[in-house]
Amino acid sequence: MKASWWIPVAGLGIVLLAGGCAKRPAPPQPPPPLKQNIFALLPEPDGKTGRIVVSNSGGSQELNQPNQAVRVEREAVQPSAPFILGQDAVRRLFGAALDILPPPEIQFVLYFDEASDDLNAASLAQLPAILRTIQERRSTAVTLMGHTDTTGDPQSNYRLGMSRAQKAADYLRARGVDTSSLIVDSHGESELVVKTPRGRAERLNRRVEVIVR
Amino acid sequence: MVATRLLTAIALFFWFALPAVCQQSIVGSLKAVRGTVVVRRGTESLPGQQGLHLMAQDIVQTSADGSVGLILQDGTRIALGPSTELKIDQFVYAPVDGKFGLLVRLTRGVMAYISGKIAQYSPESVRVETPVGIVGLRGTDFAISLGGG
Repeated sequence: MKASWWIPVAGLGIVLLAGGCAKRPAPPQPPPPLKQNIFALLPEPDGKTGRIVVSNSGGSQELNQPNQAVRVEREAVQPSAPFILGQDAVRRLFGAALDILPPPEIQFVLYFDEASDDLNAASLAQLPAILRTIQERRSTAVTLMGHTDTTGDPQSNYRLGMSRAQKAADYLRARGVDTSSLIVDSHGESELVVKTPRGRAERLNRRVEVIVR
Repeated sequence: MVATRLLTAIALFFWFALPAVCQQSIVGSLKAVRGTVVVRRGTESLPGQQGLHLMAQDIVQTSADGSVGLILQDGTRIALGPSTELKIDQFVYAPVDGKFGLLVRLTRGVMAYISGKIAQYSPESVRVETPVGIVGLRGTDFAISLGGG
């Protein structure tokens, strides 16, 4: 259910080098780097590659191959023909940024009994791992989104979803997670995992989705 | 009479103030910080510390020894190298309402970017602007005839 959401569509690296380099009283060698702006499409961890278009008033170029890049001299000049950057060039240009990319967000799902906002045994068993993840990542941006199935009416389901999310948030707060790090909200019955007609009890729809960033 | 006017004034104040307050919701957070990083918010200048919440319109700046990794609320990940400046111009992530928008402006330096859910749901809503050109995302499945060039 969650897997497809984690796949990034495009890895993109951009280097904009300031024009001042050439003026610096540089040692005779090596020669100063050329002033150039580079846009590169980097492969994703799973091997897929997205597609990006780099455009300005001079024209545009599409990048759709891993490590494909264009140079852009200035806004009025069309981006260069795409070329492939070697691994060493990728490191040299983008290494400082790539080294500090944060890990992807992680999603957990807590399930609830019918018409109940109580944390059941299965949910309680999962919460320590969620707490540990928040602590390890020192996350200050955790979303707890409550959901319900289609039994009951939409208004009370909105409140039930909120109440479920609050119960999970209370557990985390009681163990030291700062309130300002928790975003508690409800989608009621408007985001069903299993599409059902009205009035249908469905375990997979009664849930709180917890996203730790 | 006076009381009525006062009430009207208060009502109007909230009427107009409320949307502004809503826009102040967090759009992301700083995850890893090296060297000197500053977040400029209006006239404020905040030290860029791990965990700092980001708001729309924030400008993230790194010094010559600085770099920073941040994550937006849709899962978009951005890393900035040294001597870099990035403004988060627009962030809208409301899947239930079908509303999406992500506009960031890189004015100098080095950036690495990995898409999140906004790009998954609505790639055409994502734009990265730079002084020399704009980057747009394309969906994976159709051919697009590029204008110009």
